[in-house]
Amino acid sequence: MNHRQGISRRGFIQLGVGLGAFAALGRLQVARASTFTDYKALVCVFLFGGNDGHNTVVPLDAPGYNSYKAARAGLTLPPSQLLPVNTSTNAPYGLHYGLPELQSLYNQGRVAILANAGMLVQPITRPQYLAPNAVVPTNLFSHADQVVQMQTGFPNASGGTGWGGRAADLMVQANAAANFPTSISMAGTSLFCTGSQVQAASIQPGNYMAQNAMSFWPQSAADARALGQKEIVTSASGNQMVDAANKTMADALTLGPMLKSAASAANLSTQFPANPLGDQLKEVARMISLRSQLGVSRQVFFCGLGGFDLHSGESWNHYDLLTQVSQALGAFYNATAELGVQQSVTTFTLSDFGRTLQPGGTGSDHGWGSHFFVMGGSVKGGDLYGTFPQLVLGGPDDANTRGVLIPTTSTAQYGATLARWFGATDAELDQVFPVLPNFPVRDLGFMF
Amino acid sequence: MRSSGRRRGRAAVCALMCALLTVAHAGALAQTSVAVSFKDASVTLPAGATRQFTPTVTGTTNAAVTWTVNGVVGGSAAVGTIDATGKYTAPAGAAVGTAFQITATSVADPNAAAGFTLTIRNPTPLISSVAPNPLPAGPFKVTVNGNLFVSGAQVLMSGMVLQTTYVNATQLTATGTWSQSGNPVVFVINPGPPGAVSTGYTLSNGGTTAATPTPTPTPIPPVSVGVSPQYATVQLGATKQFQATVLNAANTSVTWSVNGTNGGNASVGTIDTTGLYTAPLTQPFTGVVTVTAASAADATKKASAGVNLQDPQAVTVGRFLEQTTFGPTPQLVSHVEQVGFGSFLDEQFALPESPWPDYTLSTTTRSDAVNAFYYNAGAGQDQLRQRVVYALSQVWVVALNKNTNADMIVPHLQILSRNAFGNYRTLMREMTLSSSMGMYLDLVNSVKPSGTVGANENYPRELMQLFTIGLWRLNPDGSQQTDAQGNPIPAYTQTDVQQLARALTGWTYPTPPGKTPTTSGNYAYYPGVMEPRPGLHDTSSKSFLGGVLPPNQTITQDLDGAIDIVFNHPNVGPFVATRLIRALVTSNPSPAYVARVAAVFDDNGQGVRGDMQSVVRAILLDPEARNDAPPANFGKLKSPLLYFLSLQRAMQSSIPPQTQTAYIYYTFGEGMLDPASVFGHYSPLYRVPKTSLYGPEFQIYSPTEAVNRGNYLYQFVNNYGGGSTPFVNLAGDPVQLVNAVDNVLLFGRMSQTTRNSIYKALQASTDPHARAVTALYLTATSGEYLVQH
Repeated sequence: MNHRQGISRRGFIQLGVGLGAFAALGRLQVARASTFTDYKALVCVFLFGGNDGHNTVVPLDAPGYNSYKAARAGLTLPPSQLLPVNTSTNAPYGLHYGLPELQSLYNQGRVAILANAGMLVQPITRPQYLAPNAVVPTNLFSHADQVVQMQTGFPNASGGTGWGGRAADLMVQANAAANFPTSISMAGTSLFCTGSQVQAASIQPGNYMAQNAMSFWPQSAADARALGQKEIVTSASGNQMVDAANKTMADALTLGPMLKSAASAANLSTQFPANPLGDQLKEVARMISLRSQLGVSRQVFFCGLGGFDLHSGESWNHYDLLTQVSQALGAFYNATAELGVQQSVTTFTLSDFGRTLQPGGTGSDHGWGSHFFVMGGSVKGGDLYGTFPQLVLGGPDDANTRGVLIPTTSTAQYGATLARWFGATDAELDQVFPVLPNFPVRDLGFMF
Repeated sequence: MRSSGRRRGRAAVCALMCALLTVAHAGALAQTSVAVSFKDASVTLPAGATRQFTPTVTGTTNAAVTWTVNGVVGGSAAVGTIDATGKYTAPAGAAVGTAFQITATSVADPNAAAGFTLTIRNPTPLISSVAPNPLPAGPFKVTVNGNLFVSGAQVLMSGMVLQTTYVNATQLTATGTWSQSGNPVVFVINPGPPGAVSTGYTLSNGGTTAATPTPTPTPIPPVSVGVSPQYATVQLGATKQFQATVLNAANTSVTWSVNGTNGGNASVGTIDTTGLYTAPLTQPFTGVVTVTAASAADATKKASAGVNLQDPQAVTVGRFLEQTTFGPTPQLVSHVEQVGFGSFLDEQFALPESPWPDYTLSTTTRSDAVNAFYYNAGAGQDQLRQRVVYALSQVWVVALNKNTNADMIVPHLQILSRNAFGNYRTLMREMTLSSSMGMYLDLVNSVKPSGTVGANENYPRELMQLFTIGLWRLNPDGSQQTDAQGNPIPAYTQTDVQQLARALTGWTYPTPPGKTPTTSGNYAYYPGVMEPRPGLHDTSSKSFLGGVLPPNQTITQDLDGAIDIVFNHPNVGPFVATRLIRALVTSNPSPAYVARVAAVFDDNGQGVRGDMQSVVRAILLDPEARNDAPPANFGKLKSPLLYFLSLQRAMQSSIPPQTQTAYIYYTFGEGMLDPASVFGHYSPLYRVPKTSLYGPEFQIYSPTEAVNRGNYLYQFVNNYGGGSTPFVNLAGDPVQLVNAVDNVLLFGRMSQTTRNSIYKALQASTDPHARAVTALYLTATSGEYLVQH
């Protein structure tokens, strides 16, 4: 049990990112409404359960690999199972052999690696961490808490909004004419997408808001039922709440056929792998293809793949999961290229946390910092950002003795770099990430 | 699924036939081709009528054909049946204007086919008499008696269209001016398209003296019965006189029945031998009954009228129960009408709590907790308590995603249930010492700052922000206080959080039975309240929210002192008032409403602060809640749980103790007891998109969730054995059906727009089940039902 305390919400109460800040945000947006003429989308791919970063990106220089091998023991990937990539400083790394599509995109400069990022309140070293009253996020290593924190961007249990939703809040005026929620989850209702102002919608891949009640025989009767509903939900009742509820269904009646038409093969020839993440990203690509019809110029998407909590059986299961990730991300990049929006769409990974370097049986246990991927035509890819940790049990980057990485880059810096590209001003970044002022570097530099 | 399959099938057949035709054509020169034809391209027929059709088949000696209706060989009950000889019987309930495609395909050559469209029209009207006869010259008013007249029927006389009034199915009146020579001939046309014209009825010309009327022999029609009026709205306990007309029988007396019971009964109303109907005193389920007159001469000849029973208190009581329960039931409505609002609340306050599962048993699972939460809400007798528990569970959140087992969450639910009508301070204290909450928000084993550990701030922060005070200083009416620059003023500082955290240090898990208490923190054990460990408590002086806890108090003194300081903060009244009003009554209460309730929180009239019974009563009996003609911004979107439970309760559908449907609530954004964070499923401050209106529940009602709700609703109303059966039974008469749905779901408030749209949709189908589904589905997916208002 960890009783270390994090900062609480004082920071963002002072910054005005509490519940009363709507008015201030509103003023900002009015001023900025006309500044977006382009389209941009942020696509979050959340690897639920805590992806093992240690076996996702492995150092291939001799000292680095030997150190890795010594600590990883039974979970060590042999060099034959590592796909080599290089960095701007000529440091060789290997990607897990389940990631050939990402290796290829990395080599094309479309994918960047962010090393050892995670939830932080402020920069912290091992001695500081081990000292009394260290300031760290609450409930590290707890799935329930860390899944929330990675999505809210708050290093404690606070906050009912996600940083994707808050970033979208800033752009809400840019979507003033939109007839569809700005922030869309393909993986059920998600905290990441929830903002104070934007409506977060969820879309189920393959389900185009079709009402089962409207599909029966004879067609003439089904058409009449659908027409009746349309008349009802588009009529004015005299009660604003009733009208608002009707409008939601009316929107579904408009959007369903649009989504369905976007799903037609004519719009997208890229083949996606038949796995849950592929299905979700295919749907994202279809939604992006509809951007003009939907009237949106900024969108946030959330996708997820579960199963990464590999306390056992990691070798085969991790390969299986990363293969799905790599194939799905590769296809998604190709789809954005096909749509001609590869420079307008940035995809990135998140996860609960990293895992212990030291195995526990045939798997690994809950950790902290981990490595992440950023993908897109506006990513300065083919390089590794952040600081790659020393893979030494009890070493300077270890929070204890099992290779739990103390992050050297915070989720806030990671997200702020993306949010800046998305269109947030420097001042607004502090609203999205209240702890950002605690870090000297506000832009990690991986975006053009 | 079904329809697309059929479509695909038909397309495939067509493709095949086209290919075959092409082949046949190529080698056709030497052959005589088979052809099928009909005299008419379109035919009309009244619903239920039968007609023989005969095709002309040439080019073969085999005249046999295969008959289909709408592609179905031999037809079906829904589209009408046709036998091998071509005798077609139209479906009895088919709406006027409904069209069916009848096709005959040669048996000798399947490529040879012909068909025609058969359209359902009104029955052909019959004229039995016209008065006055002879018809005088000049302006006149005639009464046309007969049968099978349909509303909208038109009387014509010798080429003149008369101004016609529909009286009932057996009588029309019409006015005009007669100035012609010769005998006037009267026709009646039932409305179409296609119209249905009677045979002519010839009158004597009263304007010509010389002419001797030529009697026109008229056939003797069969006995027929008519009832007038055809529809009536009758208040509970009131009477309505019905008239029966028996034609073509010497004995014109009838036997009256209500819903098939001769003379009726107390629950559906009674009717005497003169046709005087007396409505029941309480509303039967659906609120519609059918009055029938059967000919004494021929009991198979009968006619019916639809009665819509009106409870004058339906809206008043229905609205009250929408706010106080998980939805009105007919039983609750009549009970509240008997005892009144105040006594009903008293009864509810006094009812024992619905039970919660025994979480100390190893066999009790988290599903049992969810089931109890669901079942108590839907079926518990203590409806008001359950509604308040539901409201409080959205304020004081503990979620299954962290508290994964029954013993980690049931005690939390019990605290909510036990204190729903208690004092808010007691609730705060019990929550603070709850192992469930201690686990969820980390107060358990929070110890005084020392060594490597500090006082955990998570619970102390949420205690203020989410459970009692909120972020900003409030006026008594719930509005934010502002400083000189117009900025809202924070209600507390980080120092307040830290100081409160110190005050609440030193509590650990309870000691399991049979175990020895540890001097430091206990291991996780959830049943019971947290235990004090005075040695781990911070005994220094604490100061927060303007209050001070002196040094060296005991751990319990500090606990009570801290609870008092928070509880007595002036924000708590308006904060709790706003939260509960939003959960129970309306998303956008007026400041005055909040202020009235907050004043009751501050003092229940006997000097007691935080008395929840008084607060709940004040919320529910406030004039703003009880105004049955509320302003345009009044009401709240029903949460998924409230929506489906109230629907099932209204439709008298039983709610099983073991819900198999908990999973589906995740697709509505409301996984039961399992929100993503302590902020719950939706923010109480969420605003309806593109408006300034608060609408918390709208945060989980985007187009996708709207359709997901609709699809589950459809499962529910489309279930043949389910609650829709009474509506299916009424579906032969769209007026009765829509009135029933209106009474059951909307307290009789259905808007004219919705009513018209549903009527129109109902005309397209003759299938009673499909009709009932249409009426229920369109009503329940409309904002009128979705929003409690």
